[in-house]
Amino acid sequence: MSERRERTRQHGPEPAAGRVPLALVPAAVLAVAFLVLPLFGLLQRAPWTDLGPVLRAPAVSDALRLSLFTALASTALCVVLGLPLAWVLARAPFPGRRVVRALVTLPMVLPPVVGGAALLFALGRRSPVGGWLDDAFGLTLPFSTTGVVIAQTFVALPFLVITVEGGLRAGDRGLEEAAASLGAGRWTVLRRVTVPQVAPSLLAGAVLAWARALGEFGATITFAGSLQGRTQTMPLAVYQALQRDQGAAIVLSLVLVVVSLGVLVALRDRWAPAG
Amino acid sequence: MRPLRAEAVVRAGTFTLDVSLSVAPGEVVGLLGPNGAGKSTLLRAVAGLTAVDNGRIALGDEALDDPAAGTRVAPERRPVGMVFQDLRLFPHLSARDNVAFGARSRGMRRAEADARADAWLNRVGLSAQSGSKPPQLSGGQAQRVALARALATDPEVLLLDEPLSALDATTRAEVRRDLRTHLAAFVGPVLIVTHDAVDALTLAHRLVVLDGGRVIQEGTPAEIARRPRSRWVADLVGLTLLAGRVEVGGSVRLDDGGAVVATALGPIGPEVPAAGDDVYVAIRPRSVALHRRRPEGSPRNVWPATVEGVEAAADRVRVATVGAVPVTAEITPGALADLALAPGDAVWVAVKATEVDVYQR
Repeated sequence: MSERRERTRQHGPEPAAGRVPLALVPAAVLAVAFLVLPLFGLLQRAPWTDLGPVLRAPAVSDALRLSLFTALASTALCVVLGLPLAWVLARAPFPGRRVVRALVTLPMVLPPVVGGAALLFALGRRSPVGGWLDDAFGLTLPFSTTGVVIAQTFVALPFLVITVEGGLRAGDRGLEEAAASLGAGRWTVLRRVTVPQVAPSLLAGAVLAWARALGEFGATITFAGSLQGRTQTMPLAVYQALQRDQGAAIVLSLVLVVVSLGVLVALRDRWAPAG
Repeated sequence: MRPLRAEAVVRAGTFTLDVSLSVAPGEVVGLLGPNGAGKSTLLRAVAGLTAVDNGRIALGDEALDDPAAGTRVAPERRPVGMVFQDLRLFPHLSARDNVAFGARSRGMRRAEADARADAWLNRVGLSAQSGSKPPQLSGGQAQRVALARALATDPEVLLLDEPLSALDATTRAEVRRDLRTHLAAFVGPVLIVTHDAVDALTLAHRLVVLDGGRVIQEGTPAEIARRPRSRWVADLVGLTLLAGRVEVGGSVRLDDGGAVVATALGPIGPEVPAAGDDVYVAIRPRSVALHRRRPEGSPRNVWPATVEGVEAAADRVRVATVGAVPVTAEITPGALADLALAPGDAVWVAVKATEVDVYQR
């Protein structure tokens, strides 16, 4: 996602002179080919005639169902946790705010496998927190569907927080003052003015978080494993299918490509300004 | 109805607002002054959006702000309605929901709040636009919605921050007329910030001029327009304002050089400046005559000058001159054509001594 953001930024308005040095053109063409050709390879190898049966195969349909559910659940969790965090980061000045923001964005740059390992050590049955959860509630997070949701939330939350915080910062504080002058208390201001104002950012952040959760691989396989029907999400299923049934792997991959394209289209106004 | 009393000291970086001001119920006080004079800060302090560092803001006996006593009423609990310079209509709400916002925030039921909002929209002539979102409204319509929204909360005090500045000339005149009607119907104290001479002179009963965070002049619009005490107000009302000291014999030696003679310096009363007094000299541009040759007869104030600039002003032309005394003349376009004046030309300036106003500094 972040690579894609960098690329689309460079598509901005051309410089006034508007003339690109010819020497850059071959490299640019090569770059496009490099990014697009693998997708064509996927399309070319797709077992178009068997699409239905492959999608209905238990391993594939289980992964699809699990992925949709866990990605939605972790997105919901991201919104519930991320909106207040974004609000605090954007609006409440407190000492160490920059450090907190840096820590919050860490999972964006952290290798997901490391995140998964960290979760395992923090929430595993032998860790203090994991042990307590196990003793008190009989709740075991690793290698469970809940674990998948936690791993996905871990990597997706920063995307939502950063996006919504940006929206809050760009928002018009004046409207909140106007609301206060009309007799609205803090909660009413938040509910009727602030949240509607950041709704586009919230939506964009949620779509991003959802896409990130859907594509999550490293943290999930490390923390939750790859058990069909319980923790094997689409990316894990793709990886496993590659070793046994390439057709299924390609079909699953195509589904993820279509979803990614959908996200790009949904966010086009935000990231890909006409140029 | 309670009077508003504001003694406000607000410090922000190097700027300090230090103003003491009372507004009676039903009175409309206009706040005038250059950018950064502290006008908006004063309104924000009254609305509770900016905290005062010292002083006291009160409605009658009820303190809204009194740092010494630890009193600070939150903005949402003040009976104060505000129209912001940039209007600040909620872009995601319809005109009706904008106007109903105050009542809804105070816990009124939706149907009732909507009915009140509709009544207010009707009063400002916008019944047809009640479903429109702010981006679909024209400047004048948005302005009316903002006014209705502030008035719909039944405030005791009304604050208007440059309410007409965003409007074009035609709409401005129209909205100004309606605003006058609404202000006349409003029974509480009103503070209105303005940058515009016509707004100040037509809407306010009393004007307070701020500069650098302090009150530098206070009076009726007529007094202020006739005898300004700052360059800013003089420019606003189109007078040439000079500072000087009265000399024996009835002439005024100006601080920046030159002198003018004024017959207004007769022995008429206690307010009349005497020799040695520091005074302001106000010269109306229409009383300044321009000639290509030294004028015949004996106007007492005559000096050679150079035309600095020429600009159109309504049906007249304003000619700025630099000479012994820098003054602006306002002449008819016909006179300008006869004189064939352009910047850099030499002219003779004549001002009748009877047309020069002199008053205590």
